[in-house]
Amino acid sequence: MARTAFYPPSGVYADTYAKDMRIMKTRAQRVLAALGLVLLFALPVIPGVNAAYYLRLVIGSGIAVIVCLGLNILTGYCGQLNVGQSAFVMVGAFTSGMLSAFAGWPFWASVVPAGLAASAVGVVFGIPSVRLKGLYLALTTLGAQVILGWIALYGISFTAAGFEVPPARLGGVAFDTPQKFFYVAMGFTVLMTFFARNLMRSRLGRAFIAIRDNDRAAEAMGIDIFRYKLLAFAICTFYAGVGGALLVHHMMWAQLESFTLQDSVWYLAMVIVGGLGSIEGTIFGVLFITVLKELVLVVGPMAHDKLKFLPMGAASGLLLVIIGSIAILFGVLEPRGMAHRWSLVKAFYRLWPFGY
Amino acid sequence: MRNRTSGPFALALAAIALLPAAAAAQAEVVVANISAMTGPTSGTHMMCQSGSRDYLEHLNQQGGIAGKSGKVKVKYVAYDSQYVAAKAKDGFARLLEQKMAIWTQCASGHSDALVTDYETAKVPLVTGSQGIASLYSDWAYGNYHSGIANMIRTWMVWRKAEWEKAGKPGGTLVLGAVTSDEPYVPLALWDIDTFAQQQGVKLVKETFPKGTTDAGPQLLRLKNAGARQIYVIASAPGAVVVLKSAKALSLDIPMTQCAAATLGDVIALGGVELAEGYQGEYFFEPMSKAPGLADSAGMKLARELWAKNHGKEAPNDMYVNGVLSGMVIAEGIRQALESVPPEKINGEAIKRGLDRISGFDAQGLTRPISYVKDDHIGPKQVRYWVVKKGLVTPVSDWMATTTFRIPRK
Repeated sequence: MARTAFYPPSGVYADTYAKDMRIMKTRAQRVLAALGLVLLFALPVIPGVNAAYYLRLVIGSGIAVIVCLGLNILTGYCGQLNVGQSAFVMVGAFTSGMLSAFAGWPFWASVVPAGLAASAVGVVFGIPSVRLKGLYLALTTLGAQVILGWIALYGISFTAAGFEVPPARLGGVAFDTPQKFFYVAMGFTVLMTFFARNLMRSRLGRAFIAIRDNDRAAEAMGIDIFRYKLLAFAICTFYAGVGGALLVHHMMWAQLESFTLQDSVWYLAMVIVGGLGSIEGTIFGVLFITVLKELVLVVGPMAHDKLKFLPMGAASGLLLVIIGSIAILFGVLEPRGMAHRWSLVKAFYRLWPFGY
Repeated sequence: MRNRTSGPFALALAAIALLPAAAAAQAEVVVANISAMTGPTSGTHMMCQSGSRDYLEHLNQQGGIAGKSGKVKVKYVAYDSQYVAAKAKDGFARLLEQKMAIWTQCASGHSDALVTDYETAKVPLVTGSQGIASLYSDWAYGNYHSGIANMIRTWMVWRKAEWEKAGKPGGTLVLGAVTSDEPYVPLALWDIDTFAQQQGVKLVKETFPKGTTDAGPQLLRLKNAGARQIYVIASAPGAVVVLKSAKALSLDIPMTQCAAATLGDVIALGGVELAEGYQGEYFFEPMSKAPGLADSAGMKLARELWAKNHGKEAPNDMYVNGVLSGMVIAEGIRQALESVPPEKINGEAIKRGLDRISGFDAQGLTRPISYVKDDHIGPKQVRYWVVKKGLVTPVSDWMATTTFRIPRK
């Protein structure tokens, strides 16, 4: 039943190569996608949901989607474990932040250098991937988190202290409120999601998948493993760098404390919960974890007020226990992530009422 | 029967109908708190938050905060930042939608990230935070703050004065600093070598990684360099590691804890025996002080509030910091009510109220607080204490802190 979800519905024929290569194969998919985009970009003008708080959450989710897409390309598609993604976000964030704050570069001009800087650093830490796999490779990316964090702490005084970053501008418009920056963040999110989606259908994407599934077999087929692994690192960290550039211009502030190992763990959790090797899964995972985290942040203080018989701080901390429990349950009940659950739902819808 | 019951029934109905009107007559000011309620710093942050919340609730129970133009009650709302700057900014947006008029926090590096937000929203901040780099903003008010870089500077001035009193033994004053690699440490040591040079003091610095269980090598190097006293810049777990390492080495160099943790925290975490003789700095009256020492009126109130709200738990000194923030907030609101009617109290009115605070003694919890233009630092006074049998006693009188400012970036 589940496999039917990976194919177009009955009656949709790919009689040309162009049709076969379409991302959205049916009119319904295209209409829904267009409506979804219109709805997304209309959020800042819809009363009730256009409050700064909600928009900030959506912007934060959009940035996390970009960072996690990169991570999913490396870890989910290419099979190279990275537990230091937040350090590469930091490289992009500080590059873009410094270019804007100290060199006076406009935000738009600082995004690509931020991605490239993160990419260059990412490739350096990706070099061991030629010899290391799995947990051993994870250790080198953990090393990136520690080393880059140390440099930011002791090497550059203002990255430890933090510095103000001017808002993105276009002509006379300053994107200095959530209502305005929303369009910048969502524009990048949609663009980079589309790019990732296409990338994974290309020769490069197929090479990544081949390396993940069996690197020796991939090498036997003529895939230059070292080159493609480094490319995966470069793409992953480029995404992280762009995410970092967006983050500091969203916050209009850059500081080391925003890029911790804990953030890297959250990024990894988002990808795993959403579904390794799935673009939709990345989005689902980010939204799921963001909502869960927000639940803790909002409900925690309320719980603290109501459960006064518990020791101070225990009530708000209790919710982290609940999140941990949900994560464990998720791992046990749906190890293939939310993307798989989504494909089951789609299959059920397509086959109903004959889904036996 | 109907006639007999209709009278009281009508009265009750009238009373119910009047209730909302009566409630509406009592204006409400929203005081917000953004703290790490979960995560590694939640212990300290929750203590501060509880202190300000309990104090303001106490005022509510007494009828509210009154000024010439009327009376207001406080609605206290909080947001858990998890010590993440982006979340703190999200929280600020959320609390703004809940009509916050003034906000407070305890200690966090992300405080500086919010400067633009609260300046733009015109919502004043009252903070008991040493973690904040400097109070640059005209909208920020410290209830004991002298800036993170002044902790070690003030200690050096104190140690130099004591050394001079003792006849300058050794010819040159050598002091040591042992620090963890936590993110705020570079701020605490900002341009410290220049200051040491100006003071004619030789300062030797050593760093140990956060999470280590041994700071022995660092302490030994400080000893070999001839350090007469050591300043510890670490949170409570780091301080305990330093103390354990010093004990293992039988090191007899006096050590002083920076304000990133209180002596009470160190005693609670490391135990009475380990903390014996450890010195610490307080910008307010500590709850863990020896019983023989007289309590100020503010301390008596803080102890009452603690017993009433958290009686089963061990008291913590940072609670006093929170009470102090609550007192400054209440005083700012009270001053605002001198000229603005309750229904018009907002961030700008409270800021004007805070600007009028002069010689406010916080019932003796700290030295008098006055805010003047370009100086919202607070009392700028510190006192050093030492642990004796699990309780703290003063080893210095109140003394002026240094007032160095980290340049605004």
